[in-house]
Amino acid sequence: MKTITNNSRSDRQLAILHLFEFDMYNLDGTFKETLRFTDHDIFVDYNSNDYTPLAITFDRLSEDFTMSADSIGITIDNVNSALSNEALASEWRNNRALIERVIYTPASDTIADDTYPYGYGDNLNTYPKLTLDSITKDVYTMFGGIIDTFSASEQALNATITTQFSNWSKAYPSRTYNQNEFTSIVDAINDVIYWGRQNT
Amino acid sequence: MNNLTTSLLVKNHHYQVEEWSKQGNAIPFDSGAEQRIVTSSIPSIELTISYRGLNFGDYEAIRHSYENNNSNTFILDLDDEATLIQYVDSDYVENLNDYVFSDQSRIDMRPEIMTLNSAVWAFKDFQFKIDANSNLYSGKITLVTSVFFNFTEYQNLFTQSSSYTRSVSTDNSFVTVLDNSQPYAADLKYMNNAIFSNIGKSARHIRNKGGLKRAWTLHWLLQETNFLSLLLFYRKNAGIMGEFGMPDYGTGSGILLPYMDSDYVETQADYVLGSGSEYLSNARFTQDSFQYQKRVDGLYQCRADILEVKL
Repeated sequence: MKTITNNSRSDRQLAILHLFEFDMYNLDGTFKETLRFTDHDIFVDYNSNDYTPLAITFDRLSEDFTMSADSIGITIDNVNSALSNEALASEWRNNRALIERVIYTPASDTIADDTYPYGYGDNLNTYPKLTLDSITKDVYTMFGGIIDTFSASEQALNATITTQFSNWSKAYPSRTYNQNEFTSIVDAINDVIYWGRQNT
Repeated sequence: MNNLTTSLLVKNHHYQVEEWSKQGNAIPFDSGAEQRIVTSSIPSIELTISYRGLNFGDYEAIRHSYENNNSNTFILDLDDEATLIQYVDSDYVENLNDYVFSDQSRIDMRPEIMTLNSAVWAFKDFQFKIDANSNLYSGKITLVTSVFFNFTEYQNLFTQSSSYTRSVSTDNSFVTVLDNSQPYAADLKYMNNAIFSNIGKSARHIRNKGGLKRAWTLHWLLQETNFLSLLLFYRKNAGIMGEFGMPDYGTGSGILLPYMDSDYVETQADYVLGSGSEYLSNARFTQDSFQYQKRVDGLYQCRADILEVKL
């Protein structure tokens, strides 16, 4: 459990949002862009980056017996097909994925002479967004890892992100081979190793 | 983004509002204390607007608004009610002040600080009914707030629009049956296969899949001869067997034949108007939807669900 500092409200009423970052690479391996989303209902501005509000949910973090979170499933709104189009045009497997939790004290707003302790946000007349840089907050990383697998439907894009530690004990690369390829791999192995010794 | 304030708020008589304020949850600790967590900043509202006593022109305006915006967000200014006048003729309502009136509505407070571009809504449901007793329309529409605001940064993410095109038919077989078997009431609905996403309780993105279909439920009270001709038509055309031309029920003009003998009905005009052979939609009976009973007076009371079919 992360320690929540006195930066956030002391009356046990916390405002929480999450920031998501996914690095996208072109299929030739060059860096393309970082996608930034938030599960807040309006845009979030943090460190001069805009996080786009989208319907995102993620599983409860679970830990394996080694006391480290292994992987986490996340579901992102794909109703406009933007994500699946992006996923097909570029590579995001094995690339950086980050979930950050922000606990903050919302700014107040005055609406029709009444002040509401939890307001809407900033730039409300032109570009409604929540600017995190100027408000009191705690930010910590909930999960940092890589996208392992994903699948997309018309409604949602589901992805599993995995900690990078899992790479250390990975027996095979994350890519899977079809049967035809596998035969050639076995042939390649047998070409070198014969009955437990080097094939000479 | 379309502004539907005028077409949707004129002549309504009732609001039903359910509001979710500052979505969140609470985590209890072992000490019993609770930590309350707020996860979004814009309150969500589900608003059901009811109408009654509408003539065909009034209903048509609301129906057009729905059909042309069935799967996209639109602007609705609930502060605009002050300009309303009486919503029906004085011979219909008991009290001429029988309408919703407010100098300034506090139902949706978003436009007060975020301009009208934030008063964004989406349709969730549309149900109307017309009966022969009054030949006037009553019904309700249900709207939900959207957070897909009419600001450039939001609109740049996604383009939303929707429309409705009637599936035209030239088949007159059902109209011929209806000449003698006229319904006394019709429910007017739609089926929509658009897909929505939401943030909290508010709509986020809506994709129009082009599948908006009109749906009708017709109610009859018929003599045996007319009932049997209707039943015969149903048995020939039910299920997957047949599509037919369905008149646009609830229009202002059409077939003007009485649907039962004058010694039973109070007036010969005691039926719901249909468009006749004009404006036919290609439709079919919903599976096993025809239900009927024979009454002690020898009349048959029946109903059937009919759904538009896209060609």
